[in-house]
Amino acid sequence: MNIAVCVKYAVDAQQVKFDPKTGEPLLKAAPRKLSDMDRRAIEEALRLKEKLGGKVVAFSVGDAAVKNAVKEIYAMGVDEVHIVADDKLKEVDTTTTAKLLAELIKKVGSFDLILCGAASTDGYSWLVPGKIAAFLNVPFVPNAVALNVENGKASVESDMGDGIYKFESSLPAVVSVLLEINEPRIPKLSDILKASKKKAEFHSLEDFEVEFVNSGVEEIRMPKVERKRVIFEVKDNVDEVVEKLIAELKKEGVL
Amino acid sequence: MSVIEYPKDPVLEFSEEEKLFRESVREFCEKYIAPKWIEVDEKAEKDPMAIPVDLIKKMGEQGLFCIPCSDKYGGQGGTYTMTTIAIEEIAYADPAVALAVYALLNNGWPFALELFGKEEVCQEIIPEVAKGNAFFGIASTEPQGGSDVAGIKTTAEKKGDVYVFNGEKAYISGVGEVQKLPWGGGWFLIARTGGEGHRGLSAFAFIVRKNGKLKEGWIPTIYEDIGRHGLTTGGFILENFELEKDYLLGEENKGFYHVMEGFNLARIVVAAATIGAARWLLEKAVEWFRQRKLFGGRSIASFQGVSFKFADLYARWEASRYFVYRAARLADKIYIEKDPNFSPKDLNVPVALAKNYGPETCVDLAEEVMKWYGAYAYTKEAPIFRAWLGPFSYVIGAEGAQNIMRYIIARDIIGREFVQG
Repeated sequence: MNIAVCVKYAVDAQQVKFDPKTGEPLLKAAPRKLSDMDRRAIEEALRLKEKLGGKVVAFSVGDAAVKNAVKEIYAMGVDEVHIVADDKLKEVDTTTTAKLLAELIKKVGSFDLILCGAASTDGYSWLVPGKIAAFLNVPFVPNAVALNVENGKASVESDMGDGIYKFESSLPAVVSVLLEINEPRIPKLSDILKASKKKAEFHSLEDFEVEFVNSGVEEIRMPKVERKRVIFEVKDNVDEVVEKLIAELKKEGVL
Repeated sequence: MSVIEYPKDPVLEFSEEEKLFRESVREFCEKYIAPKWIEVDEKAEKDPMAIPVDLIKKMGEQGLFCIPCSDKYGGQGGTYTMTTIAIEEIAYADPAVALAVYALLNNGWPFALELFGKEEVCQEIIPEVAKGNAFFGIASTEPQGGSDVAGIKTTAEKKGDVYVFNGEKAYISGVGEVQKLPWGGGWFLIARTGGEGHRGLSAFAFIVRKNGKLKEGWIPTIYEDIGRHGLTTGGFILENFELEKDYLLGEENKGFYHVMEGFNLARIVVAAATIGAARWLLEKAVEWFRQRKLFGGRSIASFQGVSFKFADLYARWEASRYFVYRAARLADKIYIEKDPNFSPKDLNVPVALAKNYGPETCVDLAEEVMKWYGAYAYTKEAPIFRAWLGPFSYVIGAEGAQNIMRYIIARDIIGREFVQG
């Protein structure tokens, strides 16, 4: 049972700070980490390997910083890591990412199952796994909270928002997983030390015919909301304070 | 997200593996230790034998014991710096430091065992300690005192293939754990095999319970501590306790020198525990400063009597961290890399600085944080006092009295002949 796992070295959304003047998130300064659902995908792949044998191969594409994720991926116990790390891939469209991942998977070998986190910690588009399935021309089962592989078929319980659905799929297939599917293992020191001796295979972006797609998504930002506090003291004459309040609200353009 | 944005630090730099390891220990601690530490402390305060066996087992499975020990003994094959990182993180998650102390003892002393123990003895003990099935600490102190190691009275008389022990040890960590953990365990114990003074002492891998079976001649007592309740302290009397001669560590009558090396290693991680607990305290203080307002909405940190004190303690914490990690890096040079330019004696001053500075900073900080919190801190609802009473054991003198640390610094820097009375 050979399993491919797609992982994103995402911005750690919990660590993002905001510019106090503009309210903009300071994404460049934010630390990166393996996307939370992708860690679950790795864990699920490792559990299947422990049960059924075979190997687990991780794939990641992104900017040059993606290479920093290699040790963490290996430390979880993955057998091979294949990377395309190029700054041209910074903030690319989900179609481009999915196409490149599909091409990379095809280049490396044939897999019985392709696991992905359903959405990344930062982009959170939920689009990439389905698109990978489309490019690989294999079935797609989204939002898995339980997964079992038996007799060449994947049985999946998926949380589709309105309830848990049971799907059965032929293999190969792409299955995207939710946080609830498992608790990912925390690497031990001995795993980290073993991982430090392993090297990822780096593939050049030029080896792939990837079209940079512009899907027309527009970036809309919420402007920083300025807050102003005005305190009126109520002493004896309430009417006077009400007049003051109305005058102030008019001045601010509220009334 | 961390409450404090700590300054970037190109001097105290960590490798990729060390950073990844810190992250993994932190994740483990956030998940399994931080939610439990108050409960562990409370339960064991009522019943000292309420040892968190399941948590110890889980820590063992995660590879948090025997970190610097060789993988052939089931250790993690890591460095002393990595051990130090783990202990700092465990203490941050459990600032009452019981679990950090359990972990530091079961890293430092199994490593000392590996330095001086026979192959078969290491094969027998270290794997069980690594898995969290057995405890292995230090038993040096006796009722007459701890600092005067050369004055130890417990005797070990060689009779054929065994040593026969008689005497008493006091204020020993792990007396409950060796009875309650599935395999058992014991200590790096010092006893008199020769004449008076430090040249008559030997070290032993003193196992009192193995494979769940208690040996005869070991009569334990459990004390009631005022803090770090999740780890037992006790004493034991030895009445003709027999131990096979293979359990002698290093050379007979060289035990004083062997245990001093062990103490140096253990003191690094003791100091690491206190800087971890102190980091928790610093963050509790900053959280409090950012919400506590008095006198017409002024933050209490706007009073310099508060903020300047905080600045001084923060500076002491950063200094303590440098002392701790410098000592850990030196230990790696000596014991892991085996760099011929370094010898165990090179650890004396750096370790004494770390052990002296770390615990005192932590306890002084805890006292101040309690004052900044005000009356609330004097209630058991606020957990700050637990981070005060736990680390306080190391100011009182566990793992080496503070004035002994000062003596070591003065002796080695000024010169032995000028310092000795």
